Amino acid sequence: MSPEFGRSARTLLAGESSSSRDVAERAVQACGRLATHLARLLGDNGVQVLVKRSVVLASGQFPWLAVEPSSSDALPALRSAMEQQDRDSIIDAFVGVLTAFVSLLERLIGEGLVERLLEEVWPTVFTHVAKDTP
Amino acid sequence: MTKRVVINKLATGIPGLDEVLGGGLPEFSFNLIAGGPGGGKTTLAHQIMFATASAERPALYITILGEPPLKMLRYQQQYSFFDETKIGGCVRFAHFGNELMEHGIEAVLASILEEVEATSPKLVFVDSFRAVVHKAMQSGQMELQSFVQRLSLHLTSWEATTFLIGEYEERETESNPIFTVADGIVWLSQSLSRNSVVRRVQVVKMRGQGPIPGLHTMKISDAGVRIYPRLPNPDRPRLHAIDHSARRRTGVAELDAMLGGGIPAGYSVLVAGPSGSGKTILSTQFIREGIAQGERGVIAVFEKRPDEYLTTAPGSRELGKLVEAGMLTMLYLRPLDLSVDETMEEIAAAVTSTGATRVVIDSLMGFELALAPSFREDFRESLYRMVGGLVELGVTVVMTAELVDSYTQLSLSPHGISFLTDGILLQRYLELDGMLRKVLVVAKMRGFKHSKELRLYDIGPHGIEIGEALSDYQGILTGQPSRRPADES
Repeated sequence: MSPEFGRSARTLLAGESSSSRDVAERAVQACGRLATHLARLLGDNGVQVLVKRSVVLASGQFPWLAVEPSSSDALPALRSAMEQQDRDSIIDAFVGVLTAFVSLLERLIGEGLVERLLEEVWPTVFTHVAKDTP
Repeated sequence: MTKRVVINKLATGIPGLDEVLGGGLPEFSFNLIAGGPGGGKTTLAHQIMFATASAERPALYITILGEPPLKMLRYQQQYSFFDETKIGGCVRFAHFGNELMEHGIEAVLASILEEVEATSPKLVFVDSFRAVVHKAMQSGQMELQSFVQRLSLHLTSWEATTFLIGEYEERETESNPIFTVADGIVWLSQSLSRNSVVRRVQVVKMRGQGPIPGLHTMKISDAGVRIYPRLPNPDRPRLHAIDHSARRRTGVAELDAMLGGGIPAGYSVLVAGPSGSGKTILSTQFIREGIAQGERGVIAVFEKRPDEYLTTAPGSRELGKLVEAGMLTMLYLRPLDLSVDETMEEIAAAVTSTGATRVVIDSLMGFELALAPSFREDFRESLYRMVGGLVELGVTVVMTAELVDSYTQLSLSPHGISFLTDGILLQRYLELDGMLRKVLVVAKMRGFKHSKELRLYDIGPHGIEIGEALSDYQGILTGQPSRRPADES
């Protein structure tokens, strides 16, 4: 994933408060917004599985990230784990989870389609130029 | 002036399907794409969607249960028709699997109708509708009937052309209300014969128009689905006016004289003879003569690849040059699982694109072997359809067929196919003066006078060289002629 992607992902967590609780809340809200949008296309279950896998993948770099094995929804556990961390760690982990999620989705349905979907969710943050249109 | 409603027909974007449907898909119709697993239902639906969706005609693809959307998108992207630039724009997806699982079919119906009312799609696909049917059947037949009728009424009122996609078995057609409500039913199937599988499509029903009946061959490639109509399209423009009084010279002057000037234009002629008798030589002379006259030709080969054919056929170097010059098209049709309709379409496409007037099929035995077993079983019907379709194009067709020489009976063709062609040139071996010689006769040229002589011929450096008539001999067709007594000749 490009440095630009990381920078764009970080802007999603911008806000006045820098308390761990508020940053974690913004991170989980961003994940939820993406999940809700993709659920229309992939179904709730499909997205939940992808989010859970992304957290597992990101936990290699951020071992404090944890998923609740018995729960299909990874976001509550993500929120709890993030609230225990400082602001910068939360932001880094959020970028890690989002990167894992986007990479996973790209491997499954292709980069072009994923770029479009990200743009639909955050049109001002992820604006891609279609490679196949003149 | 008529005040009757005119139903617009949408082009489906599937090669061959509009022809089979009877001109296209009726706008605002409520259709079922049905069949067994692996039949190509989702691929067909996606191809129609990507081909027809536009800003003015947005499409909504609803997934319920069945193939997970993630996998569907992954696999459908492998086809060239998949246009990701349309997704999120004129092509939108919505998944209502959870509604079905958690709240039942009423919730699914409500979600579909809400989505349709909010976005006014002109094309709506529901995949897989089978899941809805299963769920509804748990509550009884009436609930399914009510669901289908309300869905149909609503989507038609919203001026949407609808496709329900699902796995069904043929025995369900009588008991499942969806088959009654649907305006159109397109049934996809796969039939196994020996170790060959042939895909087929049937338009079981299409209200308000006349589809081509029967089972049509269907192929799925990287480009998606392609359908080969079983019967030639009667509206296909004839490429060349048929004037049988005009003649196509064969490239063998003496043979042309025997034929009264050449093969009547638009005729189909069988060149039948034993191995090594010069059938391919005669047919390539026919093509070369046409090209010398400014015509173009097509040779369809089945036994050898074109490059191999162009190195081994008589005059191969010259044939290769004609291919390079664009005067000759060599077609090699993938053997062993071919359908007659596919063969016909490939040849017709080559004829149409090049404006060819002459076609050679070399050989019918190779063609038969190249066919999938289910088409081989009725080779005569297959050939009948192909010859009819080619002649309808207005081209003159020469086909070769290997014939095992029998000196106890006179056979004009293998498989009893001689009645299918307008003319027959028969080649045979015979023993004469202690040598194996070849003899040729025009056995048939429907409606035209022709020579009845049995003529000796040889194969020389320039092709077929016709010699004397064996008018002084008798018993020629027994393979061992004898000179007639002087007082009889």
